[in-house]
Amino acid sequence: MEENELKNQIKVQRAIHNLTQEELADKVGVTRKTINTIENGKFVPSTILAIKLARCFGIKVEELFKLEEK
Amino acid sequence: MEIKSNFSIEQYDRLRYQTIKWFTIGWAAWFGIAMVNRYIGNNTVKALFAMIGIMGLITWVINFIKLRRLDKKIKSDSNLYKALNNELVVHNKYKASRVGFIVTISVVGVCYGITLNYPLPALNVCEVTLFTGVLSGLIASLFYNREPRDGGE
Repeated sequence: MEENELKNQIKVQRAIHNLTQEELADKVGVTRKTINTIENGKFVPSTILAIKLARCFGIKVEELFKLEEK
Repeated sequence: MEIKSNFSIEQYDRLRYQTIKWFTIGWAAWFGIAMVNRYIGNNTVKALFAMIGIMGLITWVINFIKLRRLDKKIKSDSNLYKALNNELVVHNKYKASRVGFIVTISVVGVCYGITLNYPLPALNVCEVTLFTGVLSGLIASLFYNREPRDGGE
């Protein structure tokens, strides 16, 4: 069975929008640790949080998160 | 012990983490020493251990009160409550509870194994089970919610 890995563009988008992890966390209503673990691929967010993050950057969820085959 | 009202989410998160950390240290020192101190024969060592135990108890009580106040403050603000108990925190809580459960079951299993050949006092088994189960759960919670290695940036 193929394993999938969820890659994300949060760091890139943060740089584009000039946001720190703490500022992004404030905007979506979580803590900086949560943003950090999602950004580093250690935690897969819920659909709700993924949509909130995508909305915050003004892009689609599929643009922010990509499923890649290992 | 005063909790400032203009704290940010991050400051509350750090304060809660630190309070839980000192709550754990205080509880481990107090309960751990109370468990082993009755078996120590040397009076000087016993007195020294008792002092550390009392300090642990004071630390535990102070941080317990602080945690209750902090909880009250967090619950009064729904946005703060949601942010501090976000999905990662809930996920980590489950993981820490699982660690506590596994440790408790393992200790009970080991004690059960020992009692087949050697009778153990029920009080000691209860103390050891309670101590290891609660402590492992708290330590696991602190470990899962620790600061990120890259410092967050």
